[in-house]
Amino acid sequence: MTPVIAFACTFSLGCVGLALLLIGVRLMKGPAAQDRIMALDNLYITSMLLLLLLGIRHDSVSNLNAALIIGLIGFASSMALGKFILRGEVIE
Amino acid sequence: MNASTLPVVLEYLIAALIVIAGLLSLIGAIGLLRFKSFYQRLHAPSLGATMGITVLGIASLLYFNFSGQAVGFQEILIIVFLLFTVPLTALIVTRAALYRHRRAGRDVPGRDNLRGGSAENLHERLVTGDDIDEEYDPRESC
Repeated sequence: MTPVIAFACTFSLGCVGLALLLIGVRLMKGPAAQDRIMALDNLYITSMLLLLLLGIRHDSVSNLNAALIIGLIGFASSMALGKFILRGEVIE
Repeated sequence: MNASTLPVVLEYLIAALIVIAGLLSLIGAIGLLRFKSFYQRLHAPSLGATMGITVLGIASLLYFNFSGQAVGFQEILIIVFLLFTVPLTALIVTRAALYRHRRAGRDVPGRDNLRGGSAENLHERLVTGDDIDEEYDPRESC
């Protein structure tokens, strides 16, 4: 870990933390259900970004597998929530 | 990792990509929070998240493969998977929001061409709710 990449990682971790906080605010106060679904969708994508950043920061490749699994399950859950508010049931 | 295996140019490139990814994600979150209507709000975070993940995946790919560690190929999987899934999720949620707004009587673009109707009395049909599926029972209003 060189100092330049360490500084960039720290800055970017601050940005991602602030982004998670703002998405959490939208998740709390979203007027309708679709706003909350979009907020949840972006919450899992931002957490994937956080895992990638921590993987670079701590020199561990195994964080990438965790990010991949979060992506898979997050896509399934977002699609299920979208189908639920579209049709009223998940599997027809 | 020893720092000497990474070239200086590549190091600054990786740092710049990491900073750009963080800023893109932050811009997407600000757009998600600050835009007024739902259809505007759909726009910023999808772009920010996709571009942030792509840029950070490229940075991570460069970092892990040029620093002499194990070859990481999961970033390519993550980037390709996200480039497919983010528009799909946005499409499904947009269709759900259009359905709910149209059912609540708001003036949104309807599917009048697909249903064989004309676009002349589109506004009346949307407001009075002629083409509303009555069997669907949403638990909450929009």
